[in-house]
Amino acid sequence: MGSTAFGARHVSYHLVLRVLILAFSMDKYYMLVRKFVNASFRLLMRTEWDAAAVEEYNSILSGPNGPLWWSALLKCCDVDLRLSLQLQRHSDSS
Amino acid sequence: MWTYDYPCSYNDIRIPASLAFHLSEIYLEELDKALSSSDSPLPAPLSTLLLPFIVLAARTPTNTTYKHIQSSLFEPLNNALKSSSGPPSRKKQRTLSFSYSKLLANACACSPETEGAKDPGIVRTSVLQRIFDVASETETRDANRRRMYALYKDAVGDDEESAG
Repeated sequence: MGSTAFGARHVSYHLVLRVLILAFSMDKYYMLVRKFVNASFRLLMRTEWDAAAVEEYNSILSGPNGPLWWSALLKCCDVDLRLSLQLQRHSDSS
Repeated sequence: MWTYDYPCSYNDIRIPASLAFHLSEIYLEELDKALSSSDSPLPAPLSTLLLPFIVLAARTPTNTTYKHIQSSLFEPLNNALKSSSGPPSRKKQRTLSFSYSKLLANACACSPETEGAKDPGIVRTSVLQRIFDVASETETRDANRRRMYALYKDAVGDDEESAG
């Protein structure tokens, strides 16, 4: 009984710790993202908002594997579409 | 580890979505900060800089992503640009004191060198027009197209009400 209670406490302690570590590391990651976004804007400003540079930056954001690539956000049920995109990428790279 | 149920799963759609959400929340704030850090920069080409988000809003298959982009990016920007266009009043200054002040003063639609800094009302019209144009593209999902048209219509309707 005692060991079960201890075990349960032990597990919950670890769970809380893991969740806290995850939350803090996500915060740090998001802060890093924020700094990158800020630095990108300052870089673009230094090019005097050169049209080609802005376009390239946009393509990094919304290109394949970019954070805003629309097809990366497909629903789980769109397996066929995702598979076809993966195949397409595979054939492009090979 | 690499199956559907774990955080590192490459098939899990929630991870990239959360990054897109975060970017949409911080994008304008960081642009405003970057503009504040320099003395006399050229105006920011706002409708070009927003294009990746407009395209994502148009093509995303998930309801949540569209709603998040609209509530964290399109609506705050639309409200800020709307309330700062026209003659300044004490009420407007009060509501605007919290954000985007540098961005609103130093933005244009597409080409900073030829246009120069534009009035927020003109920038707002160009951003709305860009939303409308992307919504009309063939790749846009029907559900998103309807919402984007509605957003455009509401914004233009507000203008007509305030003008009339």
